[in-house]
Amino acid sequence: MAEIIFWSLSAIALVFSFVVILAKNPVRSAIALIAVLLAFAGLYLILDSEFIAGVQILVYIGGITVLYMFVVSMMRLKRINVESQFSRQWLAAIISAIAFFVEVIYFILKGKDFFKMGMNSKIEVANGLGTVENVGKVLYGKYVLPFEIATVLLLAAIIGTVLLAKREKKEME
Amino acid sequence: MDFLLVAVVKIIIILVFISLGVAYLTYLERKVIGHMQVRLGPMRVGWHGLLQPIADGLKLVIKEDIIPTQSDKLMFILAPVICFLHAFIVYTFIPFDGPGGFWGYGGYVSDVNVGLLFILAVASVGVVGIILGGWASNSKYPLLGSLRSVAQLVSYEVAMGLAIMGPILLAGSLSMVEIVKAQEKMGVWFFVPQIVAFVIYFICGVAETNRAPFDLPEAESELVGGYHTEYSGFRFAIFFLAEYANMITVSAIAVTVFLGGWMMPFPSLLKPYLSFVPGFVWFCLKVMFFLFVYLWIRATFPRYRFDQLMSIGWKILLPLSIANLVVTSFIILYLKM
Repeated sequence: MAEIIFWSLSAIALVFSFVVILAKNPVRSAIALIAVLLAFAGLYLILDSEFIAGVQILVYIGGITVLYMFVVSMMRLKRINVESQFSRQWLAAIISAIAFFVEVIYFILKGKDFFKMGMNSKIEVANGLGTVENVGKVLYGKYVLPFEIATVLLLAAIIGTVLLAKREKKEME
Repeated sequence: MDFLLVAVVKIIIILVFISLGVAYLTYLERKVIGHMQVRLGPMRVGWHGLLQPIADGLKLVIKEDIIPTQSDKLMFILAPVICFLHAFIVYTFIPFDGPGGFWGYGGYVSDVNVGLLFILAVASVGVVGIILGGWASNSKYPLLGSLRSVAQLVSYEVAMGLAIMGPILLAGSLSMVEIVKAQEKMGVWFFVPQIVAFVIYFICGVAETNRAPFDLPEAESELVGGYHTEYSGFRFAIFFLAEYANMITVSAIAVTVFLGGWMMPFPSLLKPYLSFVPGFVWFCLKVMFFLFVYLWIRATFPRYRFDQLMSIGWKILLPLSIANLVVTSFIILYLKM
């Protein structure tokens, strides 16, 4: 049962990932992105990580994608339809794609002993890696310093954005 | 298989029950506001207008369904579906009755250990339907309405989530059933120790459902009808259904988290006389009370301006909810020591 759900969710994620890239209309891309993120949330649920699945939906779909759509829906569609969708740098694209694939394959071959592959690996993750308690303990115990540094960084970004927006307004006046 | 059958039956019951509830909520709204404005409200269809919602529903289904020619058709059709789905998926996690309710089958479809988080997550996705509907209509007023709506929902979601954190700390669990059980154990409903969080939650709840006095996304004097201006017939009915279902959701969450869910009030006093009343009835009565307050607020307060709305959300409610969270955490730590 879990295997069927795993494969179908993966297929959904892959298919809609292609739609995200290939759709001409940015709003349709955003909707396809939501489907991809939902499929990922389902994958987290198979791994018994309810908390991560919930946060995935709340933050990525409810927060980030909604903001994307907020911006995208104000674009002028007529201009997007006239412009070509892809840049014509085939050579660079092919080289970087091959490099990425080689990297991934090298990583898998090298790290085969560290990570257990296949469906059997589920059992080890299933001990509640992604429950509220465990995520909280790890985040505020072992990794409290990196976590706090990240929050300070985000705060700086927020203040910076506000500052930039305010300055622009003053100049216009 | 038995497990699946029970779940399916429960889902069907809840779907029918909530749809009927929504229909009669519109009737209640017209009646309550009518009487508050010294009118009678609907009187013609049935006794005191009791069949009015059914007549309205029939009218909406029969009406012509118009899709604007310049709209994005697929997205135009998809938007109400997204809104409807998310408004109703939430009810999977809401405990209408205790584990022994509904003749021993349990008064909820599923008790997930992060139920409250899932409710917030699913509810936050509903915004997508609103912005999609506004955009796909390819018209000015729906777009403006949906942009307003998204700005408002995103702003008030933050304060709402932080306000709910207080009761979660007291209960020590994100499961809806566990939260009610924690209130039973403590002997007091969480709105007493968490009165600040309760008030913040309710204000945010009114804003989240686009109701007066925060109904700027649908301000009819400025925006015609907001994001669903171009929708007609059955598609409009689905948007309408989702919106009122969201009102019931917000009330149901408030009842579960702050007002003891399916428990009866003053158990020590009333238990000998009223123990035959199922928890489901208490739950519905509490939800009805909240819905009445909703309508009462609509009949009483004028609409806010958009800048006022934003400053209330970010400058008053958000700091208050953070302060409440910090104070609650410290008190819990102190009591544990």
